[in-house]
Order: sequence, then C-alpha cells, then structure tokens
Amino acid sequence: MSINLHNYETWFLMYTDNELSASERLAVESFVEQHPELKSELDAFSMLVLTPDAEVYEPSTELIKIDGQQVETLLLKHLDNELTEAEKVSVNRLIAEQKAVADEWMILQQTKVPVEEIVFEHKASLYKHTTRVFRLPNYAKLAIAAILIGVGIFFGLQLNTRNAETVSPIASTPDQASPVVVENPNAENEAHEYNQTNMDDSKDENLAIVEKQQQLSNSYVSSKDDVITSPEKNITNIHSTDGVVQHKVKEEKHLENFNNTHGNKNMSPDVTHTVQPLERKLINELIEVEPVVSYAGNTLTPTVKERKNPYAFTLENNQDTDNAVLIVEDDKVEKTKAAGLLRKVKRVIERKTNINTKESLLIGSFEIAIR
Amino acid sequence: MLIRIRIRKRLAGKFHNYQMTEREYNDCVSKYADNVYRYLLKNLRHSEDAKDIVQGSFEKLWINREKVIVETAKSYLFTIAYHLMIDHTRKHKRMQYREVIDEGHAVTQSNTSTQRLLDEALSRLNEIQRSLILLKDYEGYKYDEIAEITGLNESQVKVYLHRARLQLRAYIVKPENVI
Repeated sequence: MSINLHNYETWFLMYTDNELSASERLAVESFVEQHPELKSELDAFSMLVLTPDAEVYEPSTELIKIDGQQVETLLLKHLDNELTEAEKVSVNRLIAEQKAVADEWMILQQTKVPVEEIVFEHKASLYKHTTRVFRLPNYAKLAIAAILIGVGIFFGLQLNTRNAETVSPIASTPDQASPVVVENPNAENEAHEYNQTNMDDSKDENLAIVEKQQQLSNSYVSSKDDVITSPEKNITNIHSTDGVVQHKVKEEKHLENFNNTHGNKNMSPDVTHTVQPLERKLINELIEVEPVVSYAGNTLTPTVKERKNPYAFTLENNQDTDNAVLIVEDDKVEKTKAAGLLRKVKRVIERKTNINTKESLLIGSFEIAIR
Repeated sequence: MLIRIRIRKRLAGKFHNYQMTEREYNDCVSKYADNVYRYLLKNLRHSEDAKDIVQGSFEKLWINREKVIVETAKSYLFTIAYHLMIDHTRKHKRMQYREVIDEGHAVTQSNTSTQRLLDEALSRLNEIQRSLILLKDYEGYKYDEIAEITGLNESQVKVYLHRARLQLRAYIVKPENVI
C-alpha cells in the first residue's frame, strides 16, 4: 500500500509515532514535497507528541524507611530523644542528605514546647517541721540497764573494798577472833602505852577546846556508871570489870552501821567489840586529820562531823579505866551517791520480785551489801 | 548511684519501714514544687487550681513518706499530680483550655508568636496528650517513666505522643498560621 490523497492521514500519524520504516518515512517525506499544502497538517501532528520533563522525582518521607521504620517515626523519636546512638547517626545522615527529611525535621522541632521558668511562690506552706521523738530500741534499753547495774555494782564493790581496807583490821567478833584483852590497869600493854602517848601529845593542842567538848562528852559518857546510855541513840557502852571496853548496839540500825564498818554481816545483834591497840592507832590517825578533838582529863573526844570519812564516830577514854569506847554515830554517816543508787535498785527489785533482800543486793548467788 | 538506689529500694521493700525524713521531704519541696506547679499550670491554665493540686500532691507525699524512697519522689509527685489533675478536670469540666489566665501569672503567656502559636496548638489537644507532651518536653521523662506516671503502657504513651506531635505540626503548618 502506497501513500495517496485518500490515506495520507494514517501515514502522517504513523510517521509522528515513529512507527514507519526508513523507506516508508522517505515515501511520506517525498509525498509532502509533492503536495506542500499538506505539510502544515504533518507539523500539527508532530506538535501532539509529548516530551519527558527534566525534573527529578523526590520520594516523600512517608516512603523512606530505615531498618523497616518510617522516617517520620524516627524523626518523632529523635525529637523525644528516644533513639539509640546508631539510629541517631542514621537519621542525622538522612536529614543531611534528603531535603524533604530536613524540612520535616525543622517543622517537627517547632512542636517541642520550650521550658518556661515558673516559680511556685507558696513553698513555705509545703514545708513540714515536726518535733522528733527519739525512741530507743529494746536492745538499747537493755544495754543501758545493764551498764547502769554494772556501774552500780562497780561502785558498790569499790565502796565495800575501801571500807574493808579502812576498818577491817579492827574488825573482830567474839566468834571469829578472840578479843585482845587489854590488861588494865595492872598489866601495862602496848595499847595502853600508845594511848597514853597519844593523849599526852595531844594534850597541849587540845586544851583550848576542852571546855566546849566537855559538854558533848558529858552527854554520852557518864563517869559514875559503867553502862553509858545515849537516850537518843540507844547505844549502850559496857565496861567490863576486867577493864575490857565493850559497846553493845541494841538497835539493828546501829548494828548495820557497825557491820559495814567491820565488813562482817554475820555479827549477831549482841555484839561485843573490844577496841584493840591497832584499832586505837588507826582511830587516832583518823583523828589527827581532823583537829577538832577535845581532851579533858583522861577522856579524848574527837568530833568528826566535818570529816570526809563516811563513818562518824566518837572515841572516849574513861578516866578511871583508861579504856577507849568507839561509838558509831549513825546519823553522821555520809550517804554516797553510789550507795543511794544501789538502795534504789534494791527497792525496785524488791517491789518487782517480792523478794526481801534485806540489807543487801542479791544478784544470782552474788550478794552485795548496800550499806 | 544506681547501686545505692537499688539497695535502698531493696531495703524499703524488705523491711517496709524506710521512712523519708523530714529533711528529705523538705528537700523535695525545694526541688520539685516549681516543676509540679508549672506542669499543672500549663495543663489547667488556672493558678488556684494548680496550687491546690500542688498542695494536695505534697500532702500525699508526706502521708505516704514511709513508702517512698527519695530517688523516686519526683516521679511519685508527678504521678499524684497527674491523677489529681485528671480527677479535677473531669469533676469540674474544665476541659477547655483557657485563653485568659490570671493577671498575676503573665509568665505563662507566650512571648513570641511561635510560642503563642504552640500554646494555641496545645490547647487543641486533649488533657492526656497535653500531659504527655509536657512531661516529655518539660521534665524529659522517658516513655517508660511517663507510662509509670500516667498508668498507660509504654506503647500507648508512644502512640499518643506521636499523634499529639503530628497534631501540633499540622496546626503550625496551616496556611493561615504560617507567618
């Protein structure tokens, strides 16, 4: 089939669509030269052909994925600071490379609410100020109680030991140690000499206060009777016929004092105590510390009211017998804090346990004298 | 630090007698009262309501101080504040974000047009989305911490937060809002 005036439109369309062979295209072009009025029609067909655009297609952020995650999700996570370090690197590279991603990132950053400084002005109403109550746990309470008891025992023992050391050399009872009989006036013994010597030495020093002390000594000592009785104290001093000086304590209270002084709690109430030479020496040493001593004739009456020694006593020498009598004055005994504490502990224990420990504190099989 | 927190948590869990001291509580007031108040004020836009909830939150912290260890006190405070705020908004129907705020709190008004635009966008979020955005942006909590505070699970927090962000973005890029 050749091109002619009846079918040239079909040939022109195929020419425009580039569907003809080279010989056929030459046939079309020679036909147009033979019929120049048809050239404008061929040009019109050629104008209908579309040419491709030069623009580059950029995919949207919705289509980009990193490790299966959409870029939008990654950007939101990046904004929330929820990405791992590796993801952060990938996303930042994508932001740098893809303009669409960078634009999206810029917009999303604007949705982050900036931090504002807002101050709550009523903080004072929120503060709490309470008083603290310190409560000791039970084990601490027990520990403190044990420490207190220990301290009390320690001081009690110290006190007892000191008392024993001070007075024990003179402690003697008829049961445990036979009293050394002072053979007066026929036999002159060491004690008598010592006593006389001491009295002679102190004569000069004490003459000035003889008169004052005389009255005091008279209240306790009766020169006529062998038995000297103090109405207030109920202490009876018994002078034996053979010159042995004895004193009898009737009340238990006085006995306690006496027992403590001698460190012997087994002494019976009807105790007879004999002042021995060594005892006399010790007493005189104690008296020397405190110069308030009266001397009248053969009677030496030291007053130890102001002494620190907790055992107040009076030493009297009878003119006739030249014997000394030790009188323990109970009301002059000083009460120490340690003894007071022990007494309180004892009372508490007695109340709680209903056990009367008498005058000592019994802990297990260990007994401590309170006074 | 982490070890110490774990030990304290373990001790608190084991003996149930760990007690936040008065001093620790007062430290919490000094450190976190501003944060809690800001969070509530930005959510509620009502200073008196925000103050009441701050007061209530710290009161609850004081009452429950035996159960709270110091390291988690801030989260505990925000948890209380969040739930009190939700209760409050549901009770008083103050869902509408208030444009006009109290005279004495001009500090909450945005200074720049971008901030004002963002405030407007925030006002269009629901209270949960707004809370999530504020917890994330103001306090910098992680998804799991926000989940613990709000009682949501972590996935919910993530989804709600992303939706809220996209809503804010959509509002900002509207042609009428573009400056």
